[in-house]
Amino acid sequence: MLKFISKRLLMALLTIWLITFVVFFVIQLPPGDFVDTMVTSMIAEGETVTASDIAIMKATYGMDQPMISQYYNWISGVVTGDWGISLYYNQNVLKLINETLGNTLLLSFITLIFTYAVSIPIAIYSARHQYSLFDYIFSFIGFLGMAIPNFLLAILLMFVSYKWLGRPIMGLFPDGGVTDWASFLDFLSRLVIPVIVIGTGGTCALIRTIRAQMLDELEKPYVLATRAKGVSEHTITYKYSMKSVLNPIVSGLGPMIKGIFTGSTITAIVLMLPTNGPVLLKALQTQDFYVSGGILLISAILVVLGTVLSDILLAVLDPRIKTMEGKN
Amino acid sequence: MKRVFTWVLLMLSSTALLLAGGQQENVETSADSSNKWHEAPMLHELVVAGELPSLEERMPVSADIMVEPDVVELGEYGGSLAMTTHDHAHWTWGPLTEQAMFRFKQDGSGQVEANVAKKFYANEDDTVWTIELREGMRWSDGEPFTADDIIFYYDHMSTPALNDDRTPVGVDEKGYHNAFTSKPYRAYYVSLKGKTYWAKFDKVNDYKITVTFAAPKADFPESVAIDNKWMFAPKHFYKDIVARKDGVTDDSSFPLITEEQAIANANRIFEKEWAAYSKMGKSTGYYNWDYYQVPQLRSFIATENNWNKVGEFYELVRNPYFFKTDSEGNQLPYLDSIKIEIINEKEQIVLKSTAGEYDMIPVSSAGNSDSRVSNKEFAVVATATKDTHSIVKWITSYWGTVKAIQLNQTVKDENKRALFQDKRFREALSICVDRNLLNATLANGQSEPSQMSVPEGMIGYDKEWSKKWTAYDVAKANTLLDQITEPWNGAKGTYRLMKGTKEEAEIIVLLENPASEGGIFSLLRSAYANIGVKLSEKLEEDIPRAILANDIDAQLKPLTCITPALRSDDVVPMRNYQAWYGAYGKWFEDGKSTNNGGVAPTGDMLKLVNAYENIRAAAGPSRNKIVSENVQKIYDLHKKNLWVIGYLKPAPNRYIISNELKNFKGQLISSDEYRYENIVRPEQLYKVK
Repeated sequence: MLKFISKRLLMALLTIWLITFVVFFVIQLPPGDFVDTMVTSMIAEGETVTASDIAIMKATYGMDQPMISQYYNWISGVVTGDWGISLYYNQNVLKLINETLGNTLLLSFITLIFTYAVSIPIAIYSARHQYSLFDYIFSFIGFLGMAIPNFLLAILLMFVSYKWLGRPIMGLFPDGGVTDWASFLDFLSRLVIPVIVIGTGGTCALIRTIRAQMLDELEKPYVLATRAKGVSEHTITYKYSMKSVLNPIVSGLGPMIKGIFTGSTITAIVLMLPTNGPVLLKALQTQDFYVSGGILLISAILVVLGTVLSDILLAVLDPRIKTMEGKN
Repeated sequence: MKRVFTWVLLMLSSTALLLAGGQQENVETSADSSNKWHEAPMLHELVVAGELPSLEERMPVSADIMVEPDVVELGEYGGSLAMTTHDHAHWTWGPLTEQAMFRFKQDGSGQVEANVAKKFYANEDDTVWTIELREGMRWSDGEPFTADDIIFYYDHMSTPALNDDRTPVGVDEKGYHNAFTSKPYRAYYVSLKGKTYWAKFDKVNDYKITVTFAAPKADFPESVAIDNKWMFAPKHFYKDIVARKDGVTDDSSFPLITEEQAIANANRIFEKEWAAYSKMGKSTGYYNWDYYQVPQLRSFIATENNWNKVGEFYELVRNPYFFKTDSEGNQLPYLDSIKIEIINEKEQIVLKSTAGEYDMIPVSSAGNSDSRVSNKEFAVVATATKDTHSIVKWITSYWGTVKAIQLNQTVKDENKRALFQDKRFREALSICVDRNLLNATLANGQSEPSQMSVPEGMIGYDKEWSKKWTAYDVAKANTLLDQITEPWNGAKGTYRLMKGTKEEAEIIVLLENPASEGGIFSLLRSAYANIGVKLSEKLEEDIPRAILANDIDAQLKPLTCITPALRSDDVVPMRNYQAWYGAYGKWFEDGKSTNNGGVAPTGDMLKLVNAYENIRAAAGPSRNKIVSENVQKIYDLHKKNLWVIGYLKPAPNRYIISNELKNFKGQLISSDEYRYENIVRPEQLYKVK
């Protein structure tokens, strides 16, 4: 098991390193850099900018160096905990990310819980009552949630909230923060839309997978035998079949975290949530490399770690996987 | 079980939020209008509690207090003005609270009056100006505001390095020093025999300074009001973050620090991490009003530097040391605060405006805007808020709308340049467009055909000019073009060839924002195709730089100008700024030199420059006459040449204003020179419940 885990971790590190490479070069792909953004705004504000000014600025921010040495400077900083300075906010990148990371993780976590809390009971119900009216209704809603793009659903729900309540629900925290019971309830009401939007994206796939897995399981001979012995349906479902249903849930953990992260970026922009989303967008728009690179790196690390975690959990859950690993 | 877990998690997270707080509680204010203390109740409470000096100690001596005439009526204390803007929008909240040394009068006459200054006057030949200050006036941190704050700002923050004779040290020379603010201001130098000389500021006493020029400077107050209305800075604060320039006499109250020390101090004070001195200087000097740490003379001051945090409220609260009262002696401002919600997404702005969440909703008049409600959404917002808000109209200073085309007169391609400079070509482009169709399809029929010209309601309006070349006549346009291009048979999908070449007559328009420019572009493209001129587009996010490099054929952009006497960079080629005059502006900006890519103007373009220079140099008793003659000359040249072709009349500037917000007067001129909302005197806005 130890060998299995260390091998997985090593692979994860290698993947993350490759991702940093890709992230760096992809962000640098659009023409221009932060100095160009700055020069544009300076000229727009009526300043005189000479070519030598631009050269000095590029040198100050190290933008005149070749790409590979810029990458080296960045990555060696990342390793030592110096993630660079945001040129747009004039602030330490880690500090900046830290400001919104808590909210991002909070939202993702709540959404994750929501996704599982909704999809598992529905999937089990649908499997046990295959082709019933509710099975169709749930499937229909699930597919709808998957089909409608997040940003559109967010705008729709925002508009609906305005139509029903007279005020569009946006943002996460009430003005003045959560200080008492009333503002806490306000905070909860604001959570509803983002959780539904981000959550529904992931529920449908999960419902279908678990439902199929459950149906397979319920057809198996051992279930038939158990049923013949007079064990109740309830016990069959929750004691025996549930174990195999956990498989797709666990293996979907990595992609799930990724989905919530990328899904929440767009939703956060649309719903004005104080998460990493709007910060990332601004950073990409202004070519504020260290910020966008930093946020994307954290996302990548979380996805990779999620995958590692799901691999390890799978191995624990399903001895067959470990055995296969050993054979290979 | 899971639900309980979620609940516990939420409780935990909200407790954490509470602890991490830093959030402010809303202060309750009593709407007590029977004010016996002449100050806001919230300030009076602080005085009683001993946390704030008394009103007498906070204000200038009584003879020097500035008494504002009532904008509409007397107001009462309390309430906040809610509004929204995008992050880093210094220029949205800046003008709301700005206090200029000299400011433009509200009546639209273009005259200036003292504001921060108590009074100002010149000697006989306009070479020495005297500025008197208000005794006992204080910065928002309670420190006295004196002549030292002006001289310090001028010598160390806004002026480039100077030689002994007060000529500037060249940008590329040793000893050159970056200005701490945006740029060296025209208000402070004069030209004499082809050389530039900077003014000298001298302190007479704590409340009086003189400004001495090497040549007459008759428009000094107007220039200051436009270029450098904030001609002061709290020396006691900035001495720690401004590196002293070489060649400035020793000043014991301003110990020398290096640029590195200055950055380190600034990073400590502002909790930032600036790397470059010039960037730090610009942020903290030029955009000083963003930061709560910088003492101000403004009406409202920041409480937190959260203007870059989307979704948060950036709040500016009343300055307890503000130097003005209303006509009954009550200290201004009336409002407790201005609360600005930071939003970057247009849909959110529109939705929240529709829900009536803001007291002041400016409507962008110049086409589409990413950061404000524009004409397109105006009806939606206005209809939804009709019971709670009213529409206030202001006069626009725009000469036209985005439905316009600027042709770069100095375009690099010689053949194109010949074409663009030919008046017949511009006339053809103007009359080949069916403006009524444009109005119906792009402006919901709300506008009317018009040429790029001084708008109605402003001095200089000329009906003939506004209608010139607006009659739709494709046949005539083709006849005009037949004289200046190769013959063209009018076959669909083909274009005219430029005279003596095999190249098509093509105009490549740089589009900055296809969402707002796409409609007009498509319509112009099909209209121009009817006369054999090809219109193509190229997406360019960085048009200012394209203009700097003279890499631009055309842009869809209107002109805006109150009068060339005050600010002329839209209508005269005097800096590298507008597409239509391209490199001519560079030539003038570089001291009439072609070394740096500038192009020397000739003919009518040169006459424009001359007229502008006459205005700048006008002095003595006949000054007003010279100025108005030359302003008229500039207008006549524009009317004759129409370098920028306009198609529709600009919409008025509109505000959707909450019925609870009072004193927001209508029919004022909206312009940069008059500082947008500042002209309504925001310190006198008040709210009724």
